[in-house]
Amino acid sequence: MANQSALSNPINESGGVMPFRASYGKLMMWYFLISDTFTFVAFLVSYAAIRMTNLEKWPNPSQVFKSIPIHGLDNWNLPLVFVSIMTFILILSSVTMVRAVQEGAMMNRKGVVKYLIPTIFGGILFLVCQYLEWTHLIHEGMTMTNNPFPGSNGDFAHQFGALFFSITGFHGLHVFGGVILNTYLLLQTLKGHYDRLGHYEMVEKIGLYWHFVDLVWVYVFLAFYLM
Amino acid sequence: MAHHHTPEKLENHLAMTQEEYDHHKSDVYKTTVILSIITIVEVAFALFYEAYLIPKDWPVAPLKVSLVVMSLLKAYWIMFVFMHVKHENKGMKLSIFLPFTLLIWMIISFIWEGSYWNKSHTSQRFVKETKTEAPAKVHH
Repeated sequence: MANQSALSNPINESGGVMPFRASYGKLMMWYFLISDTFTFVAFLVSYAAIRMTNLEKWPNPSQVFKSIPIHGLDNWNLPLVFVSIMTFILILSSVTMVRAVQEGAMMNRKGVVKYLIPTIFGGILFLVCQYLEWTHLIHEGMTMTNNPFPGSNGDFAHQFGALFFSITGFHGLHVFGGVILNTYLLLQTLKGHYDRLGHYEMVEKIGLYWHFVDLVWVYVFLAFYLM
Repeated sequence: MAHHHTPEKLENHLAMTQEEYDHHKSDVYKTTVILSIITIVEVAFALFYEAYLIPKDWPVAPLKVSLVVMSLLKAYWIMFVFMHVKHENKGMKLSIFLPFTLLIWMIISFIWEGSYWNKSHTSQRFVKETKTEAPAKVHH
């Protein structure tokens, strides 16, 4: 293999050397994701600090996220059920994504298309769920500056709304970006671009981004709904 | 010189054998089951104390600690199987994970700072309340 010979020569300055046996694009995607992790951690850490400052005022998640925000179901007391469904949507769309990556590695264009479509569908479904939840909470009176849900001492932590909308919103923006990238990937695959190129590495790179969005949700879910 | 500039068709450097493919595929489905089970357990644990399914005076710290541990496990499975870190070489693994060590102290210190601020401002409020109460007692 060409790459192998480049790797075995330590002073090869002609280019084509692959550090860590990973391509430039894949490595840069990883480093972008690390920097994005730091942004999300900054968000979640400020959430944790502000929550600790207002511990007794902080609302109980099962009283904030207590119903399914769909007309007709919104009067039932089903705490955390809707967000669990959203979590499963994101996990399953991560599963179909990794299957698309594997089909791409096998140069199976039909397989990539077959698994990219449910991945995009899952992303859109998640965004629709988030729209429903946000609309429901805004309807209940929660905004960037107002929080109608009292904590254990009956007081209101007014930062709750701002943190909730900015952090879940920033995550939602990433999901939206992922849907756009995956749609681009689907169109390029359908056009046969990656077959002409000889490999489906772009599926792997965008796949990494998509799994990262799922990974971040694990911690947004933990911070806002489980804790 | 009749050189046509045609884009060079590269080899598929991601290629797997059928055996590897089958192995990776079953790994993915196994991970799906693991992630689903952990998520269900997490939601159940959260409801235990959020919806007061356990007595109110029971300590919730063990439940909260296990929620953090379960989330770390989910992150492990997503990174190692879905993002196939498992199959990357050692240098790459290190370059991904070493930057995260910078975050450990950041997380601890901010939570520490938050709870310190809460204590100091609650005790200040306590001082203020006792101060406003004190003159009332004198006048009475």
